[in-house]
Amino acid sequence: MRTVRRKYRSAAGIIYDILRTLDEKGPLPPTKLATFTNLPYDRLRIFLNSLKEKGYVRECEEGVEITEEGKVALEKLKEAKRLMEFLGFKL
Amino acid sequence: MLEIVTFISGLVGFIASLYVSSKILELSKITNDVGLKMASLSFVIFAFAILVDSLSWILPSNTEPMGRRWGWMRHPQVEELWLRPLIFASLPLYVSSYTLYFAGLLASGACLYSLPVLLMAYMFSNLAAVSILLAALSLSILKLNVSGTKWLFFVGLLFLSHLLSGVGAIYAIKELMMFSTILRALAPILLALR
Repeated sequence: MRTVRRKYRSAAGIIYDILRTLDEKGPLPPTKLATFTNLPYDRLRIFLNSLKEKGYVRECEEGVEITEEGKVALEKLKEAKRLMEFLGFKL
Repeated sequence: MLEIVTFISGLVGFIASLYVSSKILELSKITNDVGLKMASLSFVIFAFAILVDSLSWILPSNTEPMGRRWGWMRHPQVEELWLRPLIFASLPLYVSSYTLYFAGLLASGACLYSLPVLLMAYMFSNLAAVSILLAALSLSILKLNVSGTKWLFFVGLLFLSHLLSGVGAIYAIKELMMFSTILRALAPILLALR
């Protein structure tokens, strides 16, 4: 019987996915964001709280949205993607 | 001439490593990733390792006559190293840097929740010790034609003790870790009693 090996993401990879999803799809309710980023809701909450503290995301009427600081952080992550992969850190 | 080229390339490597480190640190601040913080620190250590290493080629500090005083110093390989003691200063820096980098790589990925960082650092340090002792054993046997087998007992004890430390840490067997410390302590005691 073949077993499927779970693919883990680094904390950096998860944050990259959250910011990228919010940037591409606009404001989203946390439940939808959890689906898009393939994260359990409680785990997503932990990451969202950390991102809110840093000012990268904020709550809005539709749910959560990315801030200007978040967009700058996302750009930095995008720029460093190749460097990170070169070093073995998956984003 | 080659010494100058080596030093300049070391200097460029030093600056490049610090640049990479600052880039990784910036990302670690965004993501709060422990692994990235460790990788950033590993590049700082690597930067200094390469600086010290390259400096050793333009700043020879031991003088040749002193190096030639003893018979064993007359090996050309030993003379080169004797003239450049800074090379030895760079080696632990390289080893620490690699250890931290690979521990960071594991901490950042899958193993953060299953293998704590401290355990990984401990494992890698023991693995480094085992590799060094194994290399020392092999080189001594192959290149130096060491006579007798008694010395093997001493190095073998150290080798075994570090191996047991690693195994003990993985399976959380406190007794095995203590036993490995006893073995390490026993090695010099046996030498002193001879």
